[in-house]
Amino acid sequence: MITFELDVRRGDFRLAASAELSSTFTGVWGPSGSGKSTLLAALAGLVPPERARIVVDDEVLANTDERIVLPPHRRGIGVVFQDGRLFPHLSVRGNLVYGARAGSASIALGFDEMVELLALGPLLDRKPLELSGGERQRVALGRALLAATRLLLLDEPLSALDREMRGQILPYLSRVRERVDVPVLYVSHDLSEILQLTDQLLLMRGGETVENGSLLELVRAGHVLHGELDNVLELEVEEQDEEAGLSILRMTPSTAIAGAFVPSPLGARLHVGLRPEDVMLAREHVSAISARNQVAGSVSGLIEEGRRVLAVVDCGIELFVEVSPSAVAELDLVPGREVVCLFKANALRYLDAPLRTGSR
Amino acid sequence: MSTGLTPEEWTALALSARVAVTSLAMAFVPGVLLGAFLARRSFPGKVLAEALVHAPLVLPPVVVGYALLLVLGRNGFVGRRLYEAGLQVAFTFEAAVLAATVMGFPLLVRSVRLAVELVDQRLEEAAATLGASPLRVLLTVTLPLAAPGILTGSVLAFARSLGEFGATITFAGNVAGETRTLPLALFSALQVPGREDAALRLAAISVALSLAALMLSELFARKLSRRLGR
Repeated sequence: MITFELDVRRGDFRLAASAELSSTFTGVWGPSGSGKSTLLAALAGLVPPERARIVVDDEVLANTDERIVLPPHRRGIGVVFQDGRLFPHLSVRGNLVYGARAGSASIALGFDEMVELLALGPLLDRKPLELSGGERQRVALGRALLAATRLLLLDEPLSALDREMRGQILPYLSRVRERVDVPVLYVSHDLSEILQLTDQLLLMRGGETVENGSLLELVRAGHVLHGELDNVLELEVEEQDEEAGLSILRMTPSTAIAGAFVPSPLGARLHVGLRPEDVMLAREHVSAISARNQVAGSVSGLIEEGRRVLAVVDCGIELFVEVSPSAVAELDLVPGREVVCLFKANALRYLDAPLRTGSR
Repeated sequence: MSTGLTPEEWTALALSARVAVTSLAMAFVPGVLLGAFLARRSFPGKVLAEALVHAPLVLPPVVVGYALLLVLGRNGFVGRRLYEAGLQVAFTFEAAVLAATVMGFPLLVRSVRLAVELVDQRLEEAAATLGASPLRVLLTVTLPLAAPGILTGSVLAFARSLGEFGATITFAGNVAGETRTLPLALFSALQVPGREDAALRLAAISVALSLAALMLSELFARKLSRRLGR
């Protein structure tokens, strides 16, 4: 449980943030300039607050009313920065052990297991300058994990990497999420990226925390703008039809869908994006149509925003579908209505490159 | 012109080396700490403090020697008490070291300060989030990354100490074997007609030593910089 109330001024910028977070992995999401990085810096103690109260698991890290403000090195908060910030004069090994502490985030994970988990073995004796951007961020992640005892903050750790590289790091982050014992705040302006890791969000706008909760809760409360929303599905490769250029992906126990061919082994789990505006709704199955996918479900919610309506369709998992108000009227979309979601195979976007196994 | 050095000249050379090594040893830790402090902290009166530290760079060296004499000489307000306690500072080997230290100190402080200012403070922040105390950050991140500048500053201070003349002759005098360092020996040789060959030898040694020190430090600094990836 993380509770904080922060008031920070940095030049003209003012951060007014407060939240009570109970999930162990929270995505902090908002546009650039919304104060996400300042929030993390304030939590870590790197910027002086006007007012601050920070409590992590009943431990008070800051309470300006009682004149308690722990310095950064006594907070036990590990940070993975956008730019890695590896020490150039130390080897990868030296960087990793720099802050290693007993009782760190990786309490279940010693140095050796961390090296194994993040595939750092071949890099240990190299200098940071000899690493690629993705390797550097993996080292930065391992270094922070070995040091963090109370909280781990990731500040857009993938933003300096190109698309392919991101796809290669995300699987490591997923592994970490499963093995780590401390709460994690993951900052990004890219909602799809966050949704690959968690659906628990803390929403920020204009220097303020707006609300936190699951994506669905936030959407229902009208907080997420349509253009930014994405469906992120975790699908298993079930069948490969290279000739037809299709991969068959298992979505729910009763439903499989077709996406463009992806050279992943059978059984691999992939993160797939599907934009709400790329999905159409019909009242029943449509014959003779080019769209490869027809998934039946029922409308579980309708959220109006301006001239568009976001329908939440329960297909075993919930899909966001963007429709026009006239379509809502014509199809008589009401909660409980049985519908079919139609989308092209090509509308599925593969978000992660396959995790490379073994040495390079 | 004889090829070797006379015993007297050897003595001056050895004395210069001893003075330079001792004064660098004395100045090193305070100089590095003060340089880092000036680079990273601001406090009221900082401009004045900096001016005082750096004054020997721009003052005539004789003035520095005279100031030392006023403070530590037999009639100086500190020196008098030391003298009563049986300690004489002025016109001793210690005085030569002190004069050289005061003259070399600002060169070290200035180099360290500039080098520390170039160290990326975001790396220091990262170290703090990894649990390193400010002292540990200084010793394991800031100073290692500033090492090329610390090295350069040390060599400059060392070379300055080797060649110090004005403050030394004023505060320490020109006592053979005690305070007559290389430049003082050179000066003495110039005072005596017919000893131009000695003066020339001593001048050549001075030039060679200074150039060697500068070139060595440049090489080392480059090597260090490459290791740090600059």
